[in-house]
Amino acid sequence: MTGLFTFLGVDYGQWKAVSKTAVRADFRVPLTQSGESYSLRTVRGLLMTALVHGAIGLAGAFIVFFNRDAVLTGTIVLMYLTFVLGTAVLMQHGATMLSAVDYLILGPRPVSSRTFLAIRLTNILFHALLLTTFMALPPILAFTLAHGVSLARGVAAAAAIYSWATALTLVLAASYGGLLRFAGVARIERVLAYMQLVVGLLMYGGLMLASRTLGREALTEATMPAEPWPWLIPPAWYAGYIGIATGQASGAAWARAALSLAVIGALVALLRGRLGMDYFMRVGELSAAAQPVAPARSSGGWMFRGGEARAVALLVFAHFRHDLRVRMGVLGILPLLLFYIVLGRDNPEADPFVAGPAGRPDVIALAVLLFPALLTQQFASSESYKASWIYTVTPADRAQLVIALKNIAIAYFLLPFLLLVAAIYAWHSPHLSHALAHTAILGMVSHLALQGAVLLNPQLPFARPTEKMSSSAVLLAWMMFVIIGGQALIWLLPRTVYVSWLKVAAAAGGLVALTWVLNRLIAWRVRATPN
Amino acid sequence: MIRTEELSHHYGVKTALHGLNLRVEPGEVLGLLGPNGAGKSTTVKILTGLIRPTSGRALVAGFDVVAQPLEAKQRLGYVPEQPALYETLTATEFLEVVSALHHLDPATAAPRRDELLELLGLGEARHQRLNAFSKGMKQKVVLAAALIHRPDVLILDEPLDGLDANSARVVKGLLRSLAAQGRTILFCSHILEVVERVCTRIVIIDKGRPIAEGAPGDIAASTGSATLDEAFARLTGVRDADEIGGDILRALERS
Repeated sequence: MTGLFTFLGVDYGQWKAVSKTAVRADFRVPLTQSGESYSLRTVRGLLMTALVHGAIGLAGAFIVFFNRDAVLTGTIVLMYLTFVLGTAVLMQHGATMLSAVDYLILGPRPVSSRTFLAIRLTNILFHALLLTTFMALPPILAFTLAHGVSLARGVAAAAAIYSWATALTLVLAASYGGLLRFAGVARIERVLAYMQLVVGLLMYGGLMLASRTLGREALTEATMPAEPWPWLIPPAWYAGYIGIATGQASGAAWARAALSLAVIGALVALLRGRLGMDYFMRVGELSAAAQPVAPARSSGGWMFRGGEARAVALLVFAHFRHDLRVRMGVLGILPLLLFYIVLGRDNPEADPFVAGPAGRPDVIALAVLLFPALLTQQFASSESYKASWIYTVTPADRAQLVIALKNIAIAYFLLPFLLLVAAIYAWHSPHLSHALAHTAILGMVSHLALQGAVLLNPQLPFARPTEKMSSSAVLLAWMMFVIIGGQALIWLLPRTVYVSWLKVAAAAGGLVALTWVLNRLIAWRVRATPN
Repeated sequence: MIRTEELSHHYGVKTALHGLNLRVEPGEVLGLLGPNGAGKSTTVKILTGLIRPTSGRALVAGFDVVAQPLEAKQRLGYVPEQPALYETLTATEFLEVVSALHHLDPATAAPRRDELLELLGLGEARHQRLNAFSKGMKQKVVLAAALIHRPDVLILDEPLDGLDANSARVVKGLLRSLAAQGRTILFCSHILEVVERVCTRIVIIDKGRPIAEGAPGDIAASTGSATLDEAFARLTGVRDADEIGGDILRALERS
């Protein structure tokens, strides 16, 4: 073991000591003022993560049982994994690569750049592989048991899943490391914004392309597309391991499997080489970078001018501009929304007031429902969460703070998105009024869904420590809930509400009334909860 | 005015405060002293509304901090022991946030904020983000945040921590002036020389109970000590500092 570390230029003793501590620290989430115990939060976070990812894994296992083409089903499972891991790294763990937090501890110690990078990578890989494990167990079992028991198929599926998870995580980590090296500290915030969008677009766009290549037939009868398509789908290279284990691999599949391993090797070489040599220094520069002087103008936006709302607006804007984690989280959502919009445009209902065939969801509507809750999740935690003492020692109304956070997400993020959505519907629909009414109803339902989420779990802005274990699980759980509930709602709307303008008006009135009630309930709940 | 009545607090089975009775009058600077874990921070956290007492009452400017927290906090300025700040904000933005939380009119708060930052020597740095600030500069921002709404009551936990000698002198003078204006000040510090100079009265607590109270000179005299430092060591039962230093050196040489 130590020989491998020596080859990689990593000090084994330092790597082991710091990596163990880092993982321990991730599980020991700092106490908030609620005084909740470490162990309870950790166990809850782990359970949530296991449940959500296990459920996604079960969907993958289901497919394995219903289609006999093991390479195809393996590819589909790996695409699910790409979505889960990619979202987690884009919105959460990628920031670890650029974080200067532990640099202040390790900077003055005799730790080499490669060791520092290895410690960071280990932490990201640990979390990525933990998520992978929760998700992978059902499909691995399915590959072992479906269509006749085969241990070799199960082992090959596990190898494919873990190799792809490692490769994907290393690609994303190397992208952030490369950004630090090539963009330079001065431009990193601006370049990071573009990179977050580009990586997201590549990932979700790639997934969309792959799903279209694979999804032309009914799932039970689909087979792996003919050459050369599998070369364009990296998960298919790794899924090829399963074909090799069952003796069904072509020469091309062998070549792709060899390529998949070469990719991991190349990534390790890249990280060991140039990226690893000056990574420590780059993070150091980032931590000590001279901060630009901000313009004297007020930066909280014009909509929220006083009291708690003004305070929260200032915090949200400052975090979005200057907090890498928040910025990356928000910008990580945008490609996901674009992915939904493109999927929706591919399958547009000409008129949202006319019921489409069952099983064809309005994907754009799902994006509207998902967006606000995904967004406010990013504004609940902060590296500087301890500064939330100011909410407690000032006469600020905590209910107003919670509600202001919701309102700011709606005003500055959801409303512009709704304008875009209205334009898309208007483009496709023969009736402008139908497009506008549908968008308005969706906006109100989306707001209501956000209120529901806030009522269940009211959170002060930037007052919670960043928790690596549970936040991506919460996001995924919320996405699953909205996708299921949203589909039902979207199916119901043209059949029950859009049948007459009177019913549309009544529904809108009902939604406004519900919104008012929920706002009251949120305020009551927050005020009734002790500090 | 600050008042606590039979104030107690338990952390699980551990009792941090045992029925503490404290009274700080307007115009007074009370030094709250005690060894680590004596209950000072718990007292301050209760007075500032960060935690609730297990029993007893705490009043700030005549308002019960549990029953009328918003009224109490409107009149309270607080400097915490650690100046935790939202570091992505600039000094100006942070004070803008605090002003908004105090519902100050932006037109009134802006000149007051700029003047405070200027007087505290942060005029040029006011548009820089707080993560570029030194510890002393952050401390000044927290001080400005405690003063911006002109509170009647100030609770200061190690307010001079990190400040350079000149800034510390300014703050000490400021505290005396604020007290002279009739404001109530509770001052917690481990630096006894500062406490001796700034405070009009001192309460020493240990294990959640008051063990001495009076003017600094009176406390020293009552224990037969030449200085407050010596009196503090005697009252809190600490061994001779030189002796402990010698023991540490010997332990290092042994291992």
